[in-house]
Amino acid sequence: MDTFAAIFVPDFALQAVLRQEAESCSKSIALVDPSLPKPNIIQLTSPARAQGVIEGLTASQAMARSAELRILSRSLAQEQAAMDILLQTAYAFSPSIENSAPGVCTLELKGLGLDGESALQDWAAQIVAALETLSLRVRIGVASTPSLALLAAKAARPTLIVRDVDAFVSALPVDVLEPSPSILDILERWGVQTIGELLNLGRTELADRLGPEIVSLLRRLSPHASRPLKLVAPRQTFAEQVEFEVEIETAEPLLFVLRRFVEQLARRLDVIHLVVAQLHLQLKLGSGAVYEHHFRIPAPTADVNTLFRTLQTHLESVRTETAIVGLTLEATPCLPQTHQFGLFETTLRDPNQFAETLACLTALCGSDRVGTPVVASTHRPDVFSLRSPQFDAQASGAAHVDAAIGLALRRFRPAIPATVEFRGERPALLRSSSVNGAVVEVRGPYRSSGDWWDRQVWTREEWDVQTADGTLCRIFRTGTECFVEGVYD
Amino acid sequence: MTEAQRLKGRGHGGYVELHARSAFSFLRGASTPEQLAEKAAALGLPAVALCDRNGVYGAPRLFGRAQETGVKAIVGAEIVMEDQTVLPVLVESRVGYQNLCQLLTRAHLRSEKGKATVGWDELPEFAKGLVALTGDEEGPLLKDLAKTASLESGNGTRLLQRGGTSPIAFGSSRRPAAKGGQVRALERLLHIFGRDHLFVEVQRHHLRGEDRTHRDLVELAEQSHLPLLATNGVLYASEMERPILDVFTCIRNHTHLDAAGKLLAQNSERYLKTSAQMSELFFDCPEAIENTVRLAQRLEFSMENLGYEFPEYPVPPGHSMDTFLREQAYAGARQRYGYVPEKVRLQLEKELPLIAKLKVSGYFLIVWDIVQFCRQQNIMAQGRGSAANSTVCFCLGITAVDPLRFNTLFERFLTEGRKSSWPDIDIDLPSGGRRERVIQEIYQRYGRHGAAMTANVITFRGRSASREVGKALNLAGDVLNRFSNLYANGDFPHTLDLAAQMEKAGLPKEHPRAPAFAVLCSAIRGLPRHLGQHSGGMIICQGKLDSVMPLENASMPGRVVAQWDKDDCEDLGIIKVDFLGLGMMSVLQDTVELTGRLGRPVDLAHLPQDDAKTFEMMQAADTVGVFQIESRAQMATLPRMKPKCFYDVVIEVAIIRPGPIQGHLMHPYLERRAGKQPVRYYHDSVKPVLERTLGVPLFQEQMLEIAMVMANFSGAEAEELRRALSFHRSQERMQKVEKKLRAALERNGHGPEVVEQIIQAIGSFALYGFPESHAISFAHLAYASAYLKAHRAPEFYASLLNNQPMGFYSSASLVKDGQRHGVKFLPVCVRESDWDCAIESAHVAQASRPAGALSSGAARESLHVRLGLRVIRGLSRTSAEQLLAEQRREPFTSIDDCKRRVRLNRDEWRVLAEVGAFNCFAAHRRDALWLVEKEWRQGDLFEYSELARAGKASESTPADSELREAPLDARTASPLPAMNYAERIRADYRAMQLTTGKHPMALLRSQLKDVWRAADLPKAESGSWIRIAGNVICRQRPGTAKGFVFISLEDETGISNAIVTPPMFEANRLLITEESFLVIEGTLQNVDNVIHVKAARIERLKADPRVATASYDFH
Repeated sequence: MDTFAAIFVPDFALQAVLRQEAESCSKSIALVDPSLPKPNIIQLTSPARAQGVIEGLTASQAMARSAELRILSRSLAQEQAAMDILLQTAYAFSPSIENSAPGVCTLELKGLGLDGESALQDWAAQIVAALETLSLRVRIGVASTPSLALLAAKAARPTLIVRDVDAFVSALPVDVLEPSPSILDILERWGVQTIGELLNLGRTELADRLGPEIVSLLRRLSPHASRPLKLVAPRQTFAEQVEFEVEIETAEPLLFVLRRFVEQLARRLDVIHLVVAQLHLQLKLGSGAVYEHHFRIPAPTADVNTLFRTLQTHLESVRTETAIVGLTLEATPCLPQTHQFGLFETTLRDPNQFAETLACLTALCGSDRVGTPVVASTHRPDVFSLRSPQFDAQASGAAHVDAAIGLALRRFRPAIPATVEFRGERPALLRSSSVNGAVVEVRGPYRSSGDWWDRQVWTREEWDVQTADGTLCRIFRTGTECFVEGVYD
Repeated sequence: MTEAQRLKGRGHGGYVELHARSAFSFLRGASTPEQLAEKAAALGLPAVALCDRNGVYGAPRLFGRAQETGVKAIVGAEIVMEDQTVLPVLVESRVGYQNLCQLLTRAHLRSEKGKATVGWDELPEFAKGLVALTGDEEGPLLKDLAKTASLESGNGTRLLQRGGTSPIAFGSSRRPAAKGGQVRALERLLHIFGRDHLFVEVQRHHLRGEDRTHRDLVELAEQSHLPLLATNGVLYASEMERPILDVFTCIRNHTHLDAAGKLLAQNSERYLKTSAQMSELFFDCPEAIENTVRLAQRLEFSMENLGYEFPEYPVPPGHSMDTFLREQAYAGARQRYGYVPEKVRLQLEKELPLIAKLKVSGYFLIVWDIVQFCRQQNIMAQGRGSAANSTVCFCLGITAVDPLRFNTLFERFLTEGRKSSWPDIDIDLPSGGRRERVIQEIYQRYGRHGAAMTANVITFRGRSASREVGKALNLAGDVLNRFSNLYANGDFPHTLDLAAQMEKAGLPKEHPRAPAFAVLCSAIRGLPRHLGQHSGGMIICQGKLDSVMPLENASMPGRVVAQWDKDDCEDLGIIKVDFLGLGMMSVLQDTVELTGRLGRPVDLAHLPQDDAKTFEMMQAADTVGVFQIESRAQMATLPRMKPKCFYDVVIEVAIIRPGPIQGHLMHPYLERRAGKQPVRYYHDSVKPVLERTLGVPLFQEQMLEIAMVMANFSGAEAEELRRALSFHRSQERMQKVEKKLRAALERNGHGPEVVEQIIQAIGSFALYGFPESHAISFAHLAYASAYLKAHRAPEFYASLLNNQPMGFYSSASLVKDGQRHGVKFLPVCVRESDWDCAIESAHVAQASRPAGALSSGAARESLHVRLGLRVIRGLSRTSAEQLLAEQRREPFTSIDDCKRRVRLNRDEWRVLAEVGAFNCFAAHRRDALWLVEKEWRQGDLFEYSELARAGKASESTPADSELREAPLDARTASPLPAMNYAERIRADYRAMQLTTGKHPMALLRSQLKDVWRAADLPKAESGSWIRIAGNVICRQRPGTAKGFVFISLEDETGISNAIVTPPMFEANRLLITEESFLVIEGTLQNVDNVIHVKAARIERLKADPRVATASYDFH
């Protein structure tokens, strides 16, 4: 009785990264996981393997074997997107799906009316085709238990329906059972390569030596050891994300990638018969800043051109300070023609709504113009950063303010250019649009400098001066230019 | 000019910087002491005081450079107090210096490294002779004031804080008193140091808020009747070095520049300033400037006046140290020669009076005493270095070389010209536990405060400098990794310049931080990072060493380390004895012991000096495992050199050194030796000096003699030259001597060509040339090890394996070399193996015997090396000892028996089974693996424990007996197949990194149809195009080879060598550095039986990297 199917994405992490550039699969590419203590190669394309690259090599070792090898880093965000696609697509073919593991989805076939091998084959072929349009190459196995279905999927090219369980499992390599590294190590020392050889050692003897883990692994091979699936509903988030290897500085390549994203999202929604109600665009900038924009689609649609035009029109007016290093496009779906926005919308119905509005403001005014100012930890005077407003009541306690010392300085922002005549190193005469006159008292110079390691290197000398009319002010010189920074109360 | 006039006479009204930190404050200062001294001289400052944090680390260097530049070096230190305030103190007198050293020693020795603090309570005991300053913003006074003000600010009083953002209150009335009498810190300092020895320190760095601090300090000084003292709290010599300090701040705080914020300096004002600048800065309190000069005059202590004394040797009544030394020297001579030959007597009479005159008899006696201790403890000890030039040392048994036999130059060891430095005796000891025993004995004899290892200053080098700077600049981790990887396994002197390396690492020069990276990498290179301990240099002192210099704990338990390195110690005339650990000494001692136990002893002191087999082996470059002459470069010279006598070995040892190679002396010597070039001399007068090396100077002594003969250098001048040659730190010193020598040569009428040749040869010796005596000592070890390899091969290889890691070859290569020499290596066995590799003969191996016992009189041909448990990776020493103890108590009878009696972890059982250690109980390795995995049943354990408690563990119960005596097959029959050959080799490499089976290349041979084996290469025609293949066991890129890379490939027949040109290396860098097995194709070059393949094509050999031998790379 074939009651379960498993969809398996081989080299899942690599496919997730290469999904946006399907043509790269024919090139020599290897994937490393930078989060590991030793970021060795974890997955690779067939051309790379043909050149002698294997899993476990360091990047340097791999490059020694393949000069044209491209090394990419694993992206959890792209894996999440690929997993979403897998689950969302599977959900279109069965209401009972399980998120079994990264790159693995198990489906229950009961009640789908798939009688006969040809119906099963057709059904599986449709899934393979649907996912292929979304740039995921998958294998599908069908068997009487979820575990056997997964084993079948791993062995499938691209589909496999298991009839004779014993014959099927005997030929499988032991590592498809995914034992712990210590068990795998023992089996390797024993010279046991296939599940058939493993079973020949005797279950009791194995249990005596390898403990409960092997018992549990072997139980998976039984055609009767089924289990209920942990059913999930796929996330209703439809997002595509990429971190660019080379920073993007012009609109053209950005729009190229965006078009691909829109196509992907449209296809994904199309498979499950939904349309786009909103789009959320995030541009990650080289400076670390993030540019975001939220689009409401007045008439929800899955039409690629309409959606793409919306983005393109907006981006024409966008200028970023630094190059773009990452891009995220998220679609909020809805059922077609079931959700229509009115002409007028109320605002600030709740904090979330307010936050959304602020995000719009930020997009309109610029990210450096909305938020709460916070003094930066630097010797550079008058430097602050803007922190996004906090809506958490607990977090909005009274801010720490340094005790006031001496006179208050009323700063001119920006500082007022001034002409200062010096006698030696001492200011003697000050002329500016706000403060003028002979200097009768001086304190300083106070010197500060910093950011010498960067293009924003700065150096300044400050004086507190009193002019003949009694005005107390702060002036400073940077390079050859002088400014009045403010006046003291 | 009086001292006072000198101090006042330079600059304006005179100013002395009395509070400067150098880079020896470890990440708290950015300039070397030498830079500070030079800058002070350039600015016209008459004196400068160095106050490094918790130490006087930089004081000798400041003193040395200050002497040269005419600046007075004042000693001081910043002491970290228990409340984390930092108290600067200056040394007034020798008593003060001794107090400071003792105080710091006490603090360091009770603390974790780098966390020493001094308690306020203990300060009074050591205050005499010290002058305290109240310190800067980290000082106790300002911290106390800030705390007081902070408390007052709560009551509406303003906050006193440096660097605040408030303006100065113009014309406002000043806050009434910082309450001098009430400031606790000042009261405490006054109480400890007294009014005459305490100064209120004022600093101005053009920062907001500091005027207020200044006013408070002035007011406090007035109220307390204390003098003011201006300092600039110098952290770097010039303002250009401020970025270095910022980077150091980041390193210290584990952050980067973008995140460091206010941890960084606010400006670049803490540099060494002129008297005029400081006077202008303190125009409103000139007395603070004047006081610097007055105080500097008072600080009369100088590093010249350390009060160091070497310990006296306790001589028997009626003897002085001189007479006792004489007695011992003559007694030794009689023992060495059987009588005292006239030549020896004359030499002793030359040396002994000089030793007495220089008052170093005690030194000789103490070293002699240590060597005696080694003898008593059965620890091999051999003096080397220049001591080997002394007949007294030879007669005392300190050295093994008879200087009269080799006519070595005594003046290289000791001359009257040595005013400030002591003779240098280095003792080679077997590395490991034996050497540690000697070191601990010295600590025991002289106390933890009387003896210490000299320091080894760890400096920022290429890789560490770039990594730390990169991290501080917040560069991406992968860029830094790539940058580091491009160093491969060492610095490449001739290939990638910094810019190219940055480009390749992904840091183009357009990168905004690339310029800073490039500049800072160079700037911090060579600056101290932290203090380590020298590998063997020890200093000892009469009385207490901790009153000569501060001592610290080394990271290694039980070791105490001084704050100065060996060059600093030598500069200050502090005597040092080097106890250097040599792996080969251990090997020799172990081999001698093994041969003794086997009944075929060898006396290393009386080896035949003309052994034909030993020289044949050397001539054939069959020297894997032999001391010094086993390297690839040595092997490439031996067939050309063809050593025929011991002195040839001396030359062989000395000639493959950067000095002779870079001085273009190696090839002329070999050519002359081969008769291809005539023997020529610089001048007839040096013929006696250079005759033994065919007119080519190969030893330092010859350089000194040439200088003495051709340039009329006196003994003192020759000593100056010797110091310059052996002083690695100073190019300047070398240049100075060179200039003097050149002038003297020219004065003596030598032509420019000869002068140039001599200068070039001497210059190259500054790049590590050997003294002859040193080469002779090393040649002794080389000859002895070659002899043992030739005549006691099993014992020699066993000892080599027991002393790994050492030398140029891995255990795997040594085993293969041994096998090629007919030595049989037996695998690890739980019944037969000891911890160490041992020797077995065939009939002994068949009998049951206690581990470690060896039968005497075993037939030579039947001696085998049984691998010891030590070669197994993953088996702890404790577990192995447990196993061995049980086996000795009663031999194991089965795996079950073993498992019952010994508690190892699962991995240890597995690894023993995997390497075949249980093959005595199992049909094959997998049988054993199957058995050891079987779960130990609780019932069995309980039953056995009960038996053990009842003292019956060794008695057999019926069930137990049945189990033990059951036929092996019945109990061990497993369903697992036996490992095939390749699997066994793989298992061996995985567990031991070596195999007693075939070389991995032997298994690949059938796939390598057109590849030549190493052993067949002599048959190939020179110039022919061939392919070689093997496991890469060595990659070298010597600094002397102009970028050429040498690769050694090992196969089942031996080692073949390839040469790679620099462009070829650059094109295949990763392939060469990363792959374990290579196929190299190119032209065969056979010159005088030295065979190389000049690589034209390199490719990966598809082999299992798990069976690769570790490579000895880029050394």
